Amino acid sequence: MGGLTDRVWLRYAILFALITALVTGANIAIGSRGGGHLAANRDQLRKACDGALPYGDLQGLVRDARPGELRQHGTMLAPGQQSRSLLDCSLSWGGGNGVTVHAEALVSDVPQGMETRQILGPGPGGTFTAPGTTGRYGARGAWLVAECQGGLDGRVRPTTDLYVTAKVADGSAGAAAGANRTTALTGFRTAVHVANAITRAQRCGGPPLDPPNRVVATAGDQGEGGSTGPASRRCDWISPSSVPGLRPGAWATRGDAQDSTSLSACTGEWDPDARHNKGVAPRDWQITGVEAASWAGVLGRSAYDSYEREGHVPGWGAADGDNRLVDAETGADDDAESGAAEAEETDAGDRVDRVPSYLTRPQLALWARSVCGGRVTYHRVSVLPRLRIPDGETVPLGPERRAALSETAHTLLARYLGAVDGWPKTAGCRDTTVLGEVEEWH
Amino acid sequence: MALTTGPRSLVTQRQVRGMTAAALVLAVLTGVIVWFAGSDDRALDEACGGALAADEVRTVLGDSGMDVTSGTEGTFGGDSSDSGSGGSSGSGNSGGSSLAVRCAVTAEGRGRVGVTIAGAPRPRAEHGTGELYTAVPARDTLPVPIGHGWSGLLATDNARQGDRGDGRATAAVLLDCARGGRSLLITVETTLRGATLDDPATRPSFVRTAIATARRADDRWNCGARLGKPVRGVGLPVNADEYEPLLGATGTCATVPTAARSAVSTARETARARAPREICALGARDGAPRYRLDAYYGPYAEDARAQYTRNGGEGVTPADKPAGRLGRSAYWAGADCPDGARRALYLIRADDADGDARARPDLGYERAALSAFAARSAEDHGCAAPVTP
Repeated sequence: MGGLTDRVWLRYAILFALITALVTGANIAIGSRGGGHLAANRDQLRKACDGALPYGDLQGLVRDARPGELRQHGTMLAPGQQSRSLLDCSLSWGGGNGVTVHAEALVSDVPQGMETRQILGPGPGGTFTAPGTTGRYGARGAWLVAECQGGLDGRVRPTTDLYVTAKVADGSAGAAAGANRTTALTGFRTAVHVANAITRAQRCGGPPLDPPNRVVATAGDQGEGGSTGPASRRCDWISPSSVPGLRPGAWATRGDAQDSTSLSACTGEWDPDARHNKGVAPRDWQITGVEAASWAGVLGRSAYDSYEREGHVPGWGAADGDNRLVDAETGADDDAESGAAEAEETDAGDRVDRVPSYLTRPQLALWARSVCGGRVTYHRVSVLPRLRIPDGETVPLGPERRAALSETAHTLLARYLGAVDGWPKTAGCRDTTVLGEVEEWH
Repeated sequence: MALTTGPRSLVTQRQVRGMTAAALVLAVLTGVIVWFAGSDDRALDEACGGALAADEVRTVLGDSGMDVTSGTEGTFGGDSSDSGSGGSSGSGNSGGSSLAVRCAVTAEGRGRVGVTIAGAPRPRAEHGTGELYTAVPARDTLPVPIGHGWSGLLATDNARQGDRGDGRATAAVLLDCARGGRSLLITVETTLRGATLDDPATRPSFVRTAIATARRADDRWNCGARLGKPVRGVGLPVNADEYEPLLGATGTCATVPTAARSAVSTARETARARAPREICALGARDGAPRYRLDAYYGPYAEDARAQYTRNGGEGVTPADKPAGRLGRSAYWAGADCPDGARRALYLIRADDADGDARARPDLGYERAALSAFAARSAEDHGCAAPVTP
């Protein structure tokens, strides 16, 4: 460097100054050409989507650089046009900032996972619930279900079930990697605001939904696990002391934290990390997991249909004969472990099933139906035995073990329906009918 | 000075040569670019034997960066001038039309338009070699008529906005030619990225290419069909959960009776507007499928019958007689249609998941439902009263 002359330094300096001037000029030119849209964009936010968007929650996302880009359709905007959407709007301001909302009157199932594990399990990225709102926030934004007692227009037949989704993007890297807490809350508040705007416009009657002011992480690794406050108390009844047949020791419970009048889900698991359980290994067939859930109205229909598609509702699977160890007539089987069970077989009721290793969570479920808050409600409880099956092998399930699972499942249902802080009691469920068991190893 | 001026003059000469070479390369490059840019346009204009509505495709997909493939074979009604770039068919007409035109336009990141144009009826030799015409999705979601004077359909596999596959639909337009009972079936599958069929303003984009291509095909192959009007709006294909009470049905299920024994009380239907395929799906009170009524006209009737020709050993089938019984729980009927068109075919089949309608068929109801459906559909299409089982 020492070899550079003053003249060379001067050339570099001039070149640097020129480039800096060019870049600055370009920025100013672009800036002056693209800016000045803030007021118009905010006005657009107020009016877009039939005025259903929450201005206060979303105004911080509005950018100045270019005009907002709006796409919208739906029968509330154009009543004469055929569409399944009541409202479908997308408004973006560049830089990754924008909001997309969708609302429709449901004529069939809720298009979201309704099975117990889907309600409680974490999705890809961050998943959150908002206490007081029946719905969830995940990779595709927030969704909720609301009721329109007066009935909703626009579909082939009348319905009272409103489904709303909202996705808010603030352009941050956090939003791209997974939902963060603030974005999730804004998403929920936007969905609630849209739902209230629709129920008001459609004269649904009934009180509006309360916009949530906090969200709870669904994943258990964020210190909440959906098990704080009332959600946790709703599942506290799950313990070996109240449900004989469960593996003794300390259990960990989780709830859905939606604090919903239409939905509740609990799971309990024998906790291997608990101090009391250290050094103890459950034996095969001891029950180390339980599930208990209730779904009212359209959620009940959706959950039942979802399990039915897998053949996991009463009346399916058990009579198929799949995985059965031996036929009562032939009694032939070469598995030594099955010998005792084989000898016990006298009729089809004393059959011995095979549980294959590829089943990740074999369980016995028990279904019941009630009327809760005036709506048909489905309840499902299940018991999950501890099983270690070598890959590619099966284990026999004979009548005695099957009967023990059944007894525990019935006890579990009775405790669930009768638990003082449990959802069925607080929802005032009555006229309960037990629908039957489902062997989820078929 | 000699040491400095010598190299300076040498550099100048090099510069001149370099600039000349650069100018030449630039000129050649510009020519190549212009030629290639123009080649997209030429390929588009010539696609599908020149019948593709290139302007409509540009409207739908944009006008740059398109990849075009095309092939034309066969003749339409023995007109030898119809042999195209793909070569002649050599399949032999034997009274049918061997015209088979296919082209596709793909615009990276924007979508795709795939077009087939088939002359009908097909040569007898083709029966038994697979589907005669490009199929339209009609299993779970019912196709809707295009209307506006066109004999056409809009169909999709997709049920919900935002699902995988939303933004993809198939439009089919049937041109009944003026002479000789021939017809042209134009089928266009359009995929538009970021678009949804649920938006009524976007939906016409899914039929636009089919309509405009049908107009050009009518000219190109001297079909002389009665053409429809411009399409500004089109209905939404009907999903499996969009059933309504059968009593009061006004579309394709109009006049079809309910049934107490078969628990038929709901219907999924579409409007009636001279579509070449019509469907009425009958269900129980909760919408669970019970029976399905299908009407096939022109090439679709020919294709359906040809499938029975292929499936030999079934006894008497729609390929053999105008009307009859098919298996345990199915009947068919037929009707003669004007201008030498293929005989229309009407079918009723059990459609329930548990197989109850097949195991304990309500044959009296099946015949009554088929008769009502066929009579109404035939009347709408100007066909004679159907022959029923």
